[in-house]
Amino acid sequence: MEKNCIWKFCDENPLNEYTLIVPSVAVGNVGQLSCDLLISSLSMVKVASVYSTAQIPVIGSDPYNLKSGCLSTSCEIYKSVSKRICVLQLKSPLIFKYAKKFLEEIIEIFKEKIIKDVIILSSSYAHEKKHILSSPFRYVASEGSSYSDKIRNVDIVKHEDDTGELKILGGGFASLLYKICQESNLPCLVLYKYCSEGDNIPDAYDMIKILMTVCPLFSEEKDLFTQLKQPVSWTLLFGRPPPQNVY
Amino acid sequence: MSTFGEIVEPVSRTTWEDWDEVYAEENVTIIQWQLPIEIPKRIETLFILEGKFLSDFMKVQSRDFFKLINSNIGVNLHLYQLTSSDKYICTVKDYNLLKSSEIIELLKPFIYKSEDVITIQTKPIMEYQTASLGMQSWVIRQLTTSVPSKKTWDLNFAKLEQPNILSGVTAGAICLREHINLSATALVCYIEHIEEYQTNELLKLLEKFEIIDDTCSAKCSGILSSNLYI
Repeated sequence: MEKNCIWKFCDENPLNEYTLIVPSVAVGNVGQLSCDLLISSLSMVKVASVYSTAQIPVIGSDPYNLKSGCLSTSCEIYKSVSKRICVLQLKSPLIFKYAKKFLEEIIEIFKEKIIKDVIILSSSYAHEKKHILSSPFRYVASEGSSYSDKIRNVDIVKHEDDTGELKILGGGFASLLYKICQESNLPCLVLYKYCSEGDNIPDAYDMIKILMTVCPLFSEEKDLFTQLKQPVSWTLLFGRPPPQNVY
Repeated sequence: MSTFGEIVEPVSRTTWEDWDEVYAEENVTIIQWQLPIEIPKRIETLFILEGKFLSDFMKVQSRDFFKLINSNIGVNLHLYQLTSSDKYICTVKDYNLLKSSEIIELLKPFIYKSEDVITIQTKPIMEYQTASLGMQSWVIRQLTTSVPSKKTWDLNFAKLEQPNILSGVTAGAICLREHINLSATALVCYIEHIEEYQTNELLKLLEKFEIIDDTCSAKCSGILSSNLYI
């Protein structure tokens, strides 16, 4: 397969038995916020970054470390050796017409790195939730997913599918990536939450809590939320303080 | 103001594509130069100037100093060459953010070839996120690639702090240079109004990079800051 992206690795090691977590750019950016929490709380290390025409370019300072002089770009990959997870963090949405090729390349590269499976974190419009009293979370597990049994024991509902093709309204590229994983015979789990745009930080905390039920990333002996560390880039998420001269 | 029950998307998401609809554009279009273009043998520095002020400012400058070599009107992209050196200037304004990476594809040969890339863009001061309580009329911040520039531009601006980010063509050029291990610097000028007392710092920057000389800055036409005509 012809490579369209430019990959810059700082760590070329294989990722045997790692789980790749990918946030889909969706309603309230819940997936991305959850990944931010994971990277920050688990002190994950950057292993690569990707340049692609499939993304709106974004640059900034390191979002997880104030002292770092590293440039942060639209698509970066972090890993935690102790937890055996990789997070592909996205800072901007994908451009529809280029997305398929980009995601296929991502999956191909990670298959070469011998990852175990993929977990996609996404969200859907709150008004699409039909059963009001049910959990706001839904899941879809592909055949061969090792999480199928675990997730059945959790109080979350399986995604209802009428058409035979996964469709998550407002869920961004989640369904496309799920399809690519299936075609590549890579086990995949999609977790998504019904929510609305606004302060979606609580949704991200809830997402990590649900993720913990299938993938224990934090100590179960301590309170989960006390173990989560917000990244420095979340400061001023809702704007700066009012200027003093307005009073 | 929205009516009761109406679902209102935040302004920050208005440019995003609707992935739920099937009519989303799938055809890959290529942005092209209007005239045939030859990639120069040597590019000392490529400057990418983004924003209305910088684009319009370059347009009104004397053609003795630099010449327009190519354009793409669709995305308001213009490429100039400084007549006395191997420096190239690209200006871009008012384009669809979704086309940023396609514009970068067009500029790619220049971005690869250039010994150094400097980007300058203007943004409204209200977009600058800081915990500082003081109100400034302008702020300049910089970001650099991990490979430092061989040239000593003597830029002493503070690093652009989190959570501020840059996006679009300038970000694309810096991002690409970072991934091909070449040097680049992004400068962002947060300004409130395009009035002379605030653009002084910007003009000083252009003088420092030898894009303009001190006589050019005097020609900062009143048209630029006028809102009489669109």
